Amino acid sequence: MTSSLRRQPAATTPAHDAEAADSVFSQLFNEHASYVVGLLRRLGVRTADVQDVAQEVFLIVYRKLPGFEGRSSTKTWISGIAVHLAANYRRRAVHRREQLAADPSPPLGQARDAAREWTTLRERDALLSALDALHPAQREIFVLCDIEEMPMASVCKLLGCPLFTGYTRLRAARKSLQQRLQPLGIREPARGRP
Amino acid sequence: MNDPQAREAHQWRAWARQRLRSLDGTPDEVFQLARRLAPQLSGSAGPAHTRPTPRATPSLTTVLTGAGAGTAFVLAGALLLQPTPPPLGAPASDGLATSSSSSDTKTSPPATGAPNSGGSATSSFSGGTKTSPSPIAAPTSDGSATSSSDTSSSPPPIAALASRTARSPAEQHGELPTAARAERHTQTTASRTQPTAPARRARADSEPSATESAGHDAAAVSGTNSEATRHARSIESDAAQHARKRTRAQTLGAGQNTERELALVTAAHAALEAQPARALALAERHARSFPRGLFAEEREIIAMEAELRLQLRAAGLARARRFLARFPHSTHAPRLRTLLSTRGTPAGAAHSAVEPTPRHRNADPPHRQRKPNR
Repeated sequence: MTSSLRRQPAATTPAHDAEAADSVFSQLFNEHASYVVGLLRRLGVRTADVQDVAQEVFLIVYRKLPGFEGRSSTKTWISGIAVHLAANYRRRAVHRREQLAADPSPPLGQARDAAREWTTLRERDALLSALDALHPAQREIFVLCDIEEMPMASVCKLLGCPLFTGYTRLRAARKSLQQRLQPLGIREPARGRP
Repeated sequence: MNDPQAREAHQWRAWARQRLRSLDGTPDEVFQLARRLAPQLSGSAGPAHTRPTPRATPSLTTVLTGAGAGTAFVLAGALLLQPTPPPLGAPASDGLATSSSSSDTKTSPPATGAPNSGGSATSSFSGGTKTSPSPIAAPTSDGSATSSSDTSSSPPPIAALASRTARSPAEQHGELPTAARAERHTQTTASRTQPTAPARRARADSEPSATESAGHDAAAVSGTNSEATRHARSIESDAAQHARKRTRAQTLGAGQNTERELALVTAAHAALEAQPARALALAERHARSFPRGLFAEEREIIAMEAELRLQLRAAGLARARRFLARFPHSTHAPRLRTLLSTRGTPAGAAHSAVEPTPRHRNADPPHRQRKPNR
């Protein structure tokens, strides 16, 4: 992917350029759309607004694609855009006074797995509300490093913070989450689970 | 940090990752997103050309036809084009229908006056080859517009899009069941793209969760031909999965009962925060109706939490003990053990084992804490 992006400036005519950019964009969309939606949710964008923000993300990706230099992976690049838009969203959300109903939980299957699925959903909700209680900067670091498993160096570059600040925030976030989830009894990970 | 702690932290992170990764967008959501995005992109695309039809422009077309164009963009294009105005006219749809059918069956000869219609459909299908819009334009203009290299001319995109939509009515009328359609899709795509089709299909059979992981796998495989194949595979595995689920539900006899049960438990859970008494009543009703139901564990947990919230500590703890005896390997068991181990502590502790109290929640937020000694 990155190599094809790097090759892009070699295209000659503007029409050719636009066409190449479009095909690259549709590749990017197909690869990352699902991930971006998930990432935005993990960063605290509500389900009702996820589509809006994801749309903004991809519009920006589309506009900035010709200027993308390929210095990082496309996933990191898109993640950066998503993180910044999620931060904007939070800032806007501060001024929002509307009370939304709780996010609807997805329908469960009817099979035997439903019970386990339900438990998983509850645990996920607990985790999400614990994440909501974190400081935004800590949440970003935790989500990108521990959940998306991106290397700390690129996360810090993406967020524009020093490396040690990143590690400090990550440690604080982990500790805080552990503290919040421990009383819920979901501290131990997987003894009974497959 | 010694080893067991590190291992525990690692396990905990894996657990959290597993829970939170499930928040990734479903194919449905991606499709909705693509649908919303398509007109926006056409509006903001290349600056040079004037675009006569604002809803479907060359840039959109290349987005739709190019690069594997997974389900999302194809379907979005199809939806956008449904209310297509008559200016495109009958000839377009006619020629396109034939071209699409020829592309599907691959056996009938190409339509008259459009020698490269089959080729254009193929290239748009296999995608990724950066098909210039000009060959796609051929069927619309009866083969006369083969030399139109300007991407700003409006017919090509519409033609390309319509060639995709041309198939959809037939599918909507239910010519073929989903599985058969997926089968045919796989065959045609595979025969066009890869010689190793049987192997791929065999793999598709053994991978029912291809849909879930498609988004992540896509990064690894950027070949668009394989994307088309994967798309077909995911359709197929979807159909197979649904069929399997249906038969399983039937054999289990879990139809309406499960739904009623689930409704009860969900209602109880929803009432837990605000009206614990109601939650307890609902849980007891569930216990009467479905003593050995699917959600017995959840009902017990809800009832216990409700009792603790109602300050019925003895009853709650007794219920917790009964629960542990009955379901020692439940996913809730570790949590209850924590609860029972804190019961000796003074008032409020039992409650905090269920839900953090406000005091706990606000106790020195870690980002304001001093840095711990290393």
